[in-house]
Amino acid sequence: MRRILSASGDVPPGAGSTRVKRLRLGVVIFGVLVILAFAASSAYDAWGSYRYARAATEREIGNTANALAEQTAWILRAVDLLLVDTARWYGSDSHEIPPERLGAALAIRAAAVPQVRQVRIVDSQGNSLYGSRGPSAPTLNVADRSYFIAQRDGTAPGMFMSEPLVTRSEGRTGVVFSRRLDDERGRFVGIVTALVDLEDLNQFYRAVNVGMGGAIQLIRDDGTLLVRNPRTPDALGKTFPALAAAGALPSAQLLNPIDRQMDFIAVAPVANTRLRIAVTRESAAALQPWRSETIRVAGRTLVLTLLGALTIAALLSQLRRVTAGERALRESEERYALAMEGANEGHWDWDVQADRLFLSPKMKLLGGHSADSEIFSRASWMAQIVIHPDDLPRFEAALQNHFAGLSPHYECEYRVRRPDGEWHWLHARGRCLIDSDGKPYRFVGSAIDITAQKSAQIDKEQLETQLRQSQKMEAIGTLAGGIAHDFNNILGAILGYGELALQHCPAKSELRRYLDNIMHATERAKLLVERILGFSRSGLGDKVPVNVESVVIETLELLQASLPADIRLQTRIDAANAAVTGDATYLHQVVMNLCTNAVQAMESGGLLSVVLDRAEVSDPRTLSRGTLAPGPYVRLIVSDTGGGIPPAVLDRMFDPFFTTKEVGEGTGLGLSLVHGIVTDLGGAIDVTTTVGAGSRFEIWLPVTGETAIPPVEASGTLPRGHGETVMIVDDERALVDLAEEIIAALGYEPVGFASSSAALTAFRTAPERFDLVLTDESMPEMIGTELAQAIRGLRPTIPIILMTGYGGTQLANRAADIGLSDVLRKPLHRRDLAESLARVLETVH
Amino acid sequence: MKQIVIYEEDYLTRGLLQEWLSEAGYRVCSGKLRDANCQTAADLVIVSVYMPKHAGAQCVGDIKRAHPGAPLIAISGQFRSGLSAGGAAARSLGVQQVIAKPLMHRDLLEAVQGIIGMPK
Repeated sequence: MRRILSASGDVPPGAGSTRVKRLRLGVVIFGVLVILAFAASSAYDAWGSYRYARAATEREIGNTANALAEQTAWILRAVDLLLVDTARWYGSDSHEIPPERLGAALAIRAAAVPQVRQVRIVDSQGNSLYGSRGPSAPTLNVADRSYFIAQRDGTAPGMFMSEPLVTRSEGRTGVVFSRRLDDERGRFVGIVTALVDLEDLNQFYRAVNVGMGGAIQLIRDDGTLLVRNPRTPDALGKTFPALAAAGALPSAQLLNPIDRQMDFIAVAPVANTRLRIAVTRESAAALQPWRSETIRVAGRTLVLTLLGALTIAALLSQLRRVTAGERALRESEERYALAMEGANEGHWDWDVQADRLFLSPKMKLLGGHSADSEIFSRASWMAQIVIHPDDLPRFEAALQNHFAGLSPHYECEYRVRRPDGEWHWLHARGRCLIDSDGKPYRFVGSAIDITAQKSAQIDKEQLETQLRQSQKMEAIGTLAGGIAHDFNNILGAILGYGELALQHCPAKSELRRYLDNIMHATERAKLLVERILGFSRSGLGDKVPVNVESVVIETLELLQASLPADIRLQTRIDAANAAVTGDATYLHQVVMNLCTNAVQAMESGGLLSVVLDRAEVSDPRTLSRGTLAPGPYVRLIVSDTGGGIPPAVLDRMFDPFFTTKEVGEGTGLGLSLVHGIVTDLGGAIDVTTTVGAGSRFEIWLPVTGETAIPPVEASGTLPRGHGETVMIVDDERALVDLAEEIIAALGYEPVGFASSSAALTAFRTAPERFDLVLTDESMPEMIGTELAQAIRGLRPTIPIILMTGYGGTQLANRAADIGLSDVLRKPLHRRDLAESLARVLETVH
Repeated sequence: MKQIVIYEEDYLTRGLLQEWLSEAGYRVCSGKLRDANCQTAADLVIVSVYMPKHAGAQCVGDIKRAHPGAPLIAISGQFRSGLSAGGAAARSLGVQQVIAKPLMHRDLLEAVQGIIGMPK
């Protein structure tokens, strides 16, 4: 799991959150700094603009003051010039002008200075002589006026400016300027005055735009207000020393006594006079723009700060969302990777149009490539993968079908070859996404390795088939067992009564012939039922340890005798003492049937190979028919070079009565017998065949012990006779012949009789002829024990050996009572016979 | 006279055995397994066994109990033909001898005589 985490990201979750925390802190700090910087800069700007506003105001009003002061000074100079000129003119040129025309001349002169309202000539007594506005009232006397007094007394050299006064002539407020008139001796003769109407001055000042809250004040250096724009008639003439004093201070602000407002004030002296121009501007008004600007700025700053804070908050929340998203994504990726890992699935994602293929590492492994191999397109994947040729058409078809919309889901099982050469089954499932045109543009899916399941499935199917087979065989076996039982009863009756009938039947009669045929037919039926019982597994046989090797060798000996000339027999027998628990006869039948089948398969000759060996089974193994549990086994392998077995036959060849031979050529019981017996012995059969080449039957039998091989009988080691005459009595001619042969080979002189009565007659005829009597027990005319009795009657001491298939131990026990020297079990074994003969004859001698 | 008791389901075989053994001089009482009412003491019991490999073997035990001490010959259509008479098969069934059907007259007589001798 660690591996997955490290693959998806280098940073473990813990470190990530620290990084994120630092990031958040950084964002916050940065935001705050930005806001602070902005606010600070705004504040600085505000302060700067305040200073600027102040400076501008001061500059403005200063300039205005200076300009107005200059202007006023000019006006005063003009007035002064007028007065000087008028004085001079009066003094010199006025004589030439008729007195009634002096007023007009003064008017002309007064007109040169628009600010001057009236020019007067006043005599030394203070009487107004002439005026530019027409003759003055004769009684106008200005002797008490300051402007007169000053000139008369000579306290004001040059031009004298009066305080604001109301003229007697017109009753208007104004300021009178006066100059002294001297005669040629310099004696005071009067003054010339120029009246400057303050209202007129105000008109002049009014033309100047001093802005909102601004005012122009013309004051005397003692603070007396002469002119004010905007007009404040109440304040005119009053004294405001503060105004005058303000001029001494740089960049002054004062509480304007006139309008009781805080004003900026600039005072400029009017040159060479006692006048001052004081330009004021209300601070509030002057700074109003700054104030509103500042408020705007503050507002803007606030808004931007808020925005900034919001942005930061949004950033932070976005950051949070992003980290949460990252975490969720990482978790999702982990979950997905773990899910894939847990499910052991590979995953692919194919961009169809661009042929870009994503393969998870697991998917690459499934395809037989290394987990880090670079495969990025389907083309390269198809080029590098090895799909089983049998599966390839289906593989292609499944994809095409799904892409064509024929199947809602893609599903396909196919084999892929791994680098080690092994084929693995993959089960792939997927789905394609279709765009608006109905074309697939993306194909995703997953795949798992189902090799184990497939092989388990195959095994299961195999076992199921086997189970069905064995159930079928069992059913057949039960049926056959039942049939054998009933038929044996019936056959017994036919044979039994038939035999009785034969006894009462005259020899050589037609009746006898018919009965013989009935018996023969019934014998055949008996053989058939024997074989049916054989494959039915219901037949009870011996359950004794049987040395397999000896049975096989014996059978092969018999087989060899009847083998066609064009068939070669090749054997390898190597099972030593291995023994199985069962019936030797049945085992013999197994070997015989297999070999017979093999011979019949090789119609035109070939090689019959018989191998007997031992094998150990370590893991449970499933064969063609049957399964092997672990343990030691003996293995019989019969193979031929015949035509092989086609698959259709392979399936049914162990079925009873199934035969590929022509009707009448074979009953088809051979292999079913083999199957029944082998199964009963606890073994199994494996068949391999190649049509046209041959077949191979492997019979596996569980070893249940070890028994010594019955020693090979070599005549040389057998006790031999010395020419004694042995009477052999057996109602079966073939057995008589066989016995004669054996006994002759042992060195005796056999005389055989196929009839007990004939034998007795022969014995009666020549009792001394025979040295020993060997007789079968069950004979129709006279049973063996009866014959023995009869012979004993004739010669009490002659050794008599009884042969019997039945009777067994009981008979042996009673042998002595009857007068038998020995009882031999049928079928006769050479050794038993030799030893018995020798032993019995010895006791005689 | 020696008494032989025969348990045989099949009437044909029963008749044949009765005929053979009576003719040989034995006293014979025969019947089906359930119906047989041969109460007389038997010198020899012949029992026909069905499914000797399975259920049939059990009935031998019942018969032995019914006729304690009497020797048994088991006959069956499901013995392998040629099964050795007093061998392993007989021992495994718990009888003295086994004979496979179809029975041969002389095989049966030999077996009977081998066990209980002549009828007298």
